Amino acid sequence: MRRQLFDIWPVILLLLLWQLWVSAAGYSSIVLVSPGAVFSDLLHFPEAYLQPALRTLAFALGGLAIGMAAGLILAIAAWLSDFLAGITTPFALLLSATPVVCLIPIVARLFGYEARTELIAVAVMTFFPSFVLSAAGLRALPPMSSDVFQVLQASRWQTLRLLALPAALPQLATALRVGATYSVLVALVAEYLMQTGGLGTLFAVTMQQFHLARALGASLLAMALSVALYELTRAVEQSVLTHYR
Amino acid sequence: MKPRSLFYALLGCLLLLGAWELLGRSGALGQTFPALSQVLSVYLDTPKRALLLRSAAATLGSAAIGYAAGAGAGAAVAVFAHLVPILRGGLDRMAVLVNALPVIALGPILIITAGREDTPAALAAVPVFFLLYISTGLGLRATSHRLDLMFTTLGATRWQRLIKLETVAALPSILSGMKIAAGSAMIGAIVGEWFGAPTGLGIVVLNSMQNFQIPLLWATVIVIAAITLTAYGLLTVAERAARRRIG
Repeated sequence: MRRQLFDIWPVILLLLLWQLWVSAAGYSSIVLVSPGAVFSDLLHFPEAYLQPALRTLAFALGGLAIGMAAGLILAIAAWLSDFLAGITTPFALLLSATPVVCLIPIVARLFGYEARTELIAVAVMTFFPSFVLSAAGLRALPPMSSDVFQVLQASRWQTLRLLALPAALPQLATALRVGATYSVLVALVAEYLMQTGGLGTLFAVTMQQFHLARALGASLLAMALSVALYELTRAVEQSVLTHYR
Repeated sequence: MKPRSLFYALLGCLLLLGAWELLGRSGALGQTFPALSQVLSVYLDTPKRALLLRSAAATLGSAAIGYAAGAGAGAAVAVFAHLVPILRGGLDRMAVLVNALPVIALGPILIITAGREDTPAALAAVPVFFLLYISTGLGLRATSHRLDLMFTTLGATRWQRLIKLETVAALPSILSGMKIAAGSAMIGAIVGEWFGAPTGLGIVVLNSMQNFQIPLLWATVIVIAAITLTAYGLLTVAERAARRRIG
């Protein structure tokens, strides 16, 4: 516990530097606000943040669920058919190396500036890690295990259900962790660009109004949300990994 | 790559490009889904090509500055933390946290601290810094214990061990970090431009999105993807070469 308390020194250092800088420079609150002012805005007007935060969270998680499911389903289809695997894998690898965040404007134009577009964007962008990692997981079988299934004349379906899917679980857990932080990022970018609501819109709008305390509050809240989701999914990943060792 | 999978990959490419062209021409997906040929013709249009080249230079510039600064600082801090282990716990924790942060949420903070013009480079530098901090740290600790013992026995100083052994052993891991960081730097630069930079590919994307210049929007996104994939490909080659020599 003491060790963990000691380990947050970089965060405290950053906050201290920020506070010192503001006090020393003596800027007006239009130019710069102190961490104290940001936290007091967060504490005094929680209702201004609650609804946008819940909205961002809902869209991130909803899109993540759809993207993960779609990725897994296509990975299973590719596992069943070599042809499908052959034509999809190069694209999946290519797309997972492209900066997909930059595709959000295209998705926004294709589906319109609406709430569903945000959901589609999150689903599309979390689909890639899910597909790539589950496809790899379904093929990373323990040595000789597929021979056993073949000797025992298991059907393709039985092999999938009893061998490949359980063997892919650790990779699926990793996909969930990667996708979770991604989902918050994509939801925020979509909200920032399309101004459909949520934390991304909150900091886009308050920046324009020079209400810096609220803009930074929204930004800190978004970071907290993303880190919380990351820690949660990392815990899931760890427990899956220890279970499978 | 086996000839069979190469064949499938090529077939997949042709199928996708063909489907894109046909779907775009038919207009089944609406005005916002242009045909491939429409997108490619943007590159033949002289003023638009000039705009794209100018913007790409600006974005590449800020991404490269952020990348170099972030990578240099990240590697330096990792070496420092390697020599002063008491700092490592906190820095490691911080690196994990920053990796989980959505870059766009850092935008408002960087606009205030770095200003609108330098936000793209700063936003590119932040994720690169932490990726390089993590990969350099991992690489430095991956030094073979036996070689370490041998150096110590032969009377190498701490400094000599660091320069001649640990840094060399860390190279593959550092290059692997640099490979992943290339994409992060590009995303950081583009998102940073969305916070009001004067020029850049991010600005072209934003403007063409708002003004319904659909082929230009697609053409710009393809340029962004091509730059990122080129950097990623070059660093993959470098990483493989390093792993063969050192690995």
